[in-house]
Amino acid sequence: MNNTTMRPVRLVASAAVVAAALILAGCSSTNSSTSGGTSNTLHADIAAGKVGTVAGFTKIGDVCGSKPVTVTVVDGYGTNSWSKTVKAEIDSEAAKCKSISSVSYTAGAGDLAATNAAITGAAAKGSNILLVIPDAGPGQAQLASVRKATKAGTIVVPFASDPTGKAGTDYLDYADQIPSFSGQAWAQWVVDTLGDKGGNVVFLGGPAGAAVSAQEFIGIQKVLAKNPQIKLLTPEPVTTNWDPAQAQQAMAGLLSQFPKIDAVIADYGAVANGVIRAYQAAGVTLPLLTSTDDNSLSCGFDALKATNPGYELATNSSRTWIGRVALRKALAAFYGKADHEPSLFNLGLVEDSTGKTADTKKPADACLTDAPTDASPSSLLTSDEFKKIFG
Amino acid sequence: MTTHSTPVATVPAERAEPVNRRGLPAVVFSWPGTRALIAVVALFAVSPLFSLGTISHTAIVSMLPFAALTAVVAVGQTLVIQQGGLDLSIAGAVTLGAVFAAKLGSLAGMDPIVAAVIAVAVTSIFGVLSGIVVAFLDLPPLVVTIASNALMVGMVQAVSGGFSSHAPNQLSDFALSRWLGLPVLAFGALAVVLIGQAVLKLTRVGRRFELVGENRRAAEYIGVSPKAYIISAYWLSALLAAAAGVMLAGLLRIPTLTAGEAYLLPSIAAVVLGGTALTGGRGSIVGTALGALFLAQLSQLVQTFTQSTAVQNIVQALIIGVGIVAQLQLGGSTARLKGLVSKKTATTAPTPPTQAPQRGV
Repeated sequence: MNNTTMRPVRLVASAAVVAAALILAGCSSTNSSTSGGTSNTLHADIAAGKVGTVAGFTKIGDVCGSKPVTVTVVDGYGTNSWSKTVKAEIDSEAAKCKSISSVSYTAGAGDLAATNAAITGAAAKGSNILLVIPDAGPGQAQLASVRKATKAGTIVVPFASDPTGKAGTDYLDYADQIPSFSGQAWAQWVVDTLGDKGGNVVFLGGPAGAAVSAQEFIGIQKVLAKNPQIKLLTPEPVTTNWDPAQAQQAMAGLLSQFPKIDAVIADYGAVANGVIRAYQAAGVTLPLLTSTDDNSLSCGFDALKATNPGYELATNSSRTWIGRVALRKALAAFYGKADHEPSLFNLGLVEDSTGKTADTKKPADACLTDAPTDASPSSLLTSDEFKKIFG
Repeated sequence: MTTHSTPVATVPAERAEPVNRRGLPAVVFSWPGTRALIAVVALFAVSPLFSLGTISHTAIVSMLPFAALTAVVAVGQTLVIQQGGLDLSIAGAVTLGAVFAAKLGSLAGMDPIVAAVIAVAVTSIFGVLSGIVVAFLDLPPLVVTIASNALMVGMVQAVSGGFSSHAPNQLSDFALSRWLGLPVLAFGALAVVLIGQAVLKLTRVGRRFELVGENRRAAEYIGVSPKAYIISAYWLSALLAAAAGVMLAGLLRIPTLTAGEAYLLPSIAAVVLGGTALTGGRGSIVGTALGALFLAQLSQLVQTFTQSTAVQNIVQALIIGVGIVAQLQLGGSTARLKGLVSKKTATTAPTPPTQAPQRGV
């Protein structure tokens, strides 16, 4: 008796659940659809994939709307000061758009499974916007979760590490630097500074097989191929896991293997700090060093130069502001507004101790004296905001 | 009084027998430290064949600080392994020591020496906790030390706020300083090793410590309470790991929140390569230190002939594996080695190999 009476009740209940789900799905797709009628989790008037420079930034006020919006940030690594700065920049940008009701943050700590779970979890919780740094492993290993989140109706913008896949098919847009351009900028500075006599150069990258380092390496090789007086001693990026301690040990190994290294290229400022420690520990004078900007590199330059006459430093931006671009693009898509700023940036040098590169600062001028040593001089955070995160 | 004389009397009696039977060279070879020394000498001898740079002054001076830190951590691990345990909280203890030293030391008005002492003292409390739980509740050391590692990792997060801080300049300058042209950390490690070996082999406390590890019941029968020795092993392990952490903070200047993870496996590998049996009992701290030196030089050497991390890890793992198997198989006597060369010796001396793994490995 009970069974027979329960069945229709269950049927009605499940029909109601399905109907409610459909209505909700319908709602979200109407909310998030552009005038063209396609779901804006994939398409919007945001100039996806546009290449440019930081001069093209838009203001968040232009893409902010009135409807409350929730934002989730997932960082595949998230354990170093770069990640901490990136998060603070997103928070700082989000604070300027009052409709953003919450910004939640998960660090994957290099754990692929945890990162993928965080990506799908954000979509399951109904977060409107998801900004992902897919660097817990190769971009491809996180692409399936990114697709899933997009399908679930979340606007996903991967940034700062190549997610593979395609903007408009797998996610809304991908915001980053163009790594091969950075590689070319570093290598060109080495070529120019070493001059005709040339010399030996090594390149320290991130985790083994990291896409960013691999692409930067291609840029470096491209420039050095035209300049045979410079010899690249490392046939692939040296693994450091972007950890200064591991960088120090790797550099110690390189110093013992190669008696003459004239320039070091490191793709992260903290790694460059590890390189300096290795030189100091070995009692060898510092060579040319080029990397991404880091306050301790800039502020410490003059003191090191005094004891290491051959030391020169050039950096490009560590693009800690890239999360701001990702957030603005996602907001524009959410509110159906236009944002034509670039997604992919060519980052030339911003600091050059030799003063030979145009539009660059000397390290002492780049140094943010009020900010802590971990700060990135090219960051858009104020000194107060830096103090808040680094104490 | 009787309790004092008994263990001291037991050990020489046990040792006296093989001396008569095997002669001096065989006895010297049977010391685990001797085999570790042979491995280290062999490694340094082949190093220039791969790359001359690996035995240059620069290379040695770069390698020694890391070898020194591994050695200090591994001395603590040796003590725990001698008690039949395994300290898996090394990673947490090293990191906590490093983070404390950097964080407290960089506070305005804080003397870096005071900061270092606090870092070591606080971290060592976790070791005492592990020791108490292992000694009194008789829980498996693996589980207990995994738990205390988790506590320390949590503490690292709480103290650091999730990011690394800079070690004070005095600490960072000290860690890089030289004495007689060699890194000061190497001398620090040498002092720890020599003191450890002397206490273990030449003092009553040390002999009892080994006895408790070798045979807890026998120790109890002669009136030695094992609990204090077990607790002290875990306490010293955490203390030495924290001290290494403090020096690591100075060496790296910006210690990362996972800096200690690189020391767990090498600490165990150094102990085994140094000839201390994982089953507990007698151990060789000098052997452990040589094991640490072997690992540091090996890592440097492997790095010079390939930049690929994958190949580096595989080659390193293979060599360490061979080293450990050789150390375990050769055991405390030369009989097995002889057996490899001469069939006759192997058949006429069947007993030493069976005793070997229990005693002198």
